[in-house]
Amino acid sequence: MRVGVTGISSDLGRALLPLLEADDSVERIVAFDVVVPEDISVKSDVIRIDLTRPGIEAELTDAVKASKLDALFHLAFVNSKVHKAAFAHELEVVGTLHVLAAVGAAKLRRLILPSLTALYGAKSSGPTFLPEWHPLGGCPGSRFITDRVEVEQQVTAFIEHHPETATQVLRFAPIVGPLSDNPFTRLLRTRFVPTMMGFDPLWQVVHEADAAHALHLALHSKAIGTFNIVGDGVLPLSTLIRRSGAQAVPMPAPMLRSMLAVLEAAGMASVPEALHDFFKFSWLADGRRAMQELGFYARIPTDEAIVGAVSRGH
Amino acid sequence: MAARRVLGNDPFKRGSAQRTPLAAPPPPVRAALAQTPELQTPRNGKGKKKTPARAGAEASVVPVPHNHAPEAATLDGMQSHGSSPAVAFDAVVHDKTPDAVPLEIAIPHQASPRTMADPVPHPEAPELVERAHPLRVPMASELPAPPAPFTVGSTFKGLVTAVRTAVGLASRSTQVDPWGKDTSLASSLRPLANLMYDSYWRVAVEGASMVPSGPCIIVANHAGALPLDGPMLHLVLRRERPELAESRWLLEDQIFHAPFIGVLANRLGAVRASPENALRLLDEGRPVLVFPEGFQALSKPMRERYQLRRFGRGGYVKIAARAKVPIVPVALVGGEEAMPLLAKIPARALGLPYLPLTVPPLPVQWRVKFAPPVFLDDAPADVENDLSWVEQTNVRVRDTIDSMLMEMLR
Repeated sequence: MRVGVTGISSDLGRALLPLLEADDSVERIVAFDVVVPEDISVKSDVIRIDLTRPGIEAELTDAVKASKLDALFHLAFVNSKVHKAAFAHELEVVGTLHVLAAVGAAKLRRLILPSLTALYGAKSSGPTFLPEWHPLGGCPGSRFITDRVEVEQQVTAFIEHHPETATQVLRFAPIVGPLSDNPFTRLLRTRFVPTMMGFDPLWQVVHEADAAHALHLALHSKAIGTFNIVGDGVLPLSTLIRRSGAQAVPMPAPMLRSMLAVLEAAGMASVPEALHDFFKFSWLADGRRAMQELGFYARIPTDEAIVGAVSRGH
Repeated sequence: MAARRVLGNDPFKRGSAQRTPLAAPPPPVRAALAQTPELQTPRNGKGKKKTPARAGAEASVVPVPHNHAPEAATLDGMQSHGSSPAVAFDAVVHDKTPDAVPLEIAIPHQASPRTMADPVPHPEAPELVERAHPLRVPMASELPAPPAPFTVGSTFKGLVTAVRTAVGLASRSTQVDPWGKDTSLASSLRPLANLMYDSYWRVAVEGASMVPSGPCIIVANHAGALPLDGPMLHLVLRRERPELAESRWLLEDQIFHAPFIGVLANRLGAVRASPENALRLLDEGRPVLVFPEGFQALSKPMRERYQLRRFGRGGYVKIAARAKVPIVPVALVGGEEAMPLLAKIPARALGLPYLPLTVPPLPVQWRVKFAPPVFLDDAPADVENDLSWVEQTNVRVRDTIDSMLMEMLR
């Protein structure tokens, strides 16, 4: 099997690469990225491609066709801190559009994309465990989440028009682990984490090793569609913060919101003010479909995954 | 039964307590059977006899389905609660073998139209029935909670933990179950709860043996300025029927998302009220406690105590019919006197509809009375659309509770 990976230098790409290298059924890995990872193996080719460049689509289609891929992981999404929302939008929304066009033109048999359980949004009503078919409520006010909802909408339209491509979307709970650099791990890395007083929502996390394992399982699975990938067990946000070694600082809700707004304006906020509902309402995804159809069971329980989830550099 | 006044308990006439009482709560056929130990039949879904309960409830001579009687007899002997109507089913639910599946609950996702009580049907909707691995909910009695004696020190620690939890500071325990219940917090508060139960509120329970084993919906009146009735009923079941699966109570959004008490209630076993949550809890084999009056009942003044509010739109009836579980009506007396709502302090700024002005819980005796379970064998195939059947069943349950309340308050 020949497997393509866009965004090999992303967190998920770096976690997935060793699993693909160890997999004997994968004969060739073709990596598409703007930077070349240093630890690339003999099994891998690297094709330098910038998904934000206009007109990249034809180049990508040719590359996909030429490398005779059987499957493509599209992992080129922004997780690290990006101040330019316009760049993130180009890479995530327009970049995915290019990838979908290339996959459609090359008639690729399999496409696997990561997504987020945060796209359901943290809502005050509805079931406690959100199934995959629950509408994506998103989070109005957060460009990051709105962009990813748009990506999912593009993928849904793609699936409708390209039934010949087996498409899998894995919606991950916040990914934690020593290598992960995403909004949640950056939040935990600050020593004091502001939370909303009188509220302690239930959160899920998934360890980066389990996340990579789920992506790898999807490659060999017959199941298609969307899957929630969540860790084993849920924990209150305060417990997650405490277990990660930080300290929760509960603040009255109006004070928290105005403080975050001020910090955000100053470019110092650890979390955007728009995301305050995630500190108020539980947002849990139902992981049963991934268990039943993908056979994904998290190997690292949530309360262990969160310990040492962030490197504090001390 | 045919002569029942369907809408005799007009919710808009605020005066359910003044209404002439019914002679007795109308016992359905299955309930009548449940009361006579020698006529018991196990309910395990198979061999279920379709009894037109509405039409023939008053019939005193009932053909007894004997298909499972011998098993029931042997199992009755093994269980302490011989009078429980569904002992054999209990054995099925709590079988230690890994492939024991509590109950097959068929949830018709595909044909049901979009209603408020309905999860949105979707072609990708997974069958909630199928489980990757059989769930086994621990019975209340086997939870890691030794009946610790009451000590001031440990109780103080438990209360401190409770306050920290309510504020949003992590407790030492790192384990909550998927619904958010913190078992270690609950068990650290249990000695205090038991003391209050026995000595302060002197809870008197009647008819707890009628709660069927296995999943069921327990419907009670909502009472008092603070929603203590959920944990109280939970404790009643735990103490009176320790062999049952651990119950959970559904809490309306206004309380569940209220700061401090919402978090605390969730850690102690409250679940956000939604049809999907109720079905999932039943699927786990648990008794589910619901208060269909909802927030309306908590916010009524003291002078209107024990006057039942409208029982929602009968969502619990639809859920019971879909999950094929019985409904157990319960009357709770005591909550309204223990914590009367004296005044409502406006508190929009805190994100609350109001702040209740009440007294610290008073030492009033609580009385809890269970009615025989209502089996919904007469449920139409298309429950969602048969609003009149849902409303009739809803009224029947409400009338049962109402007449029990009147009897207890006489």
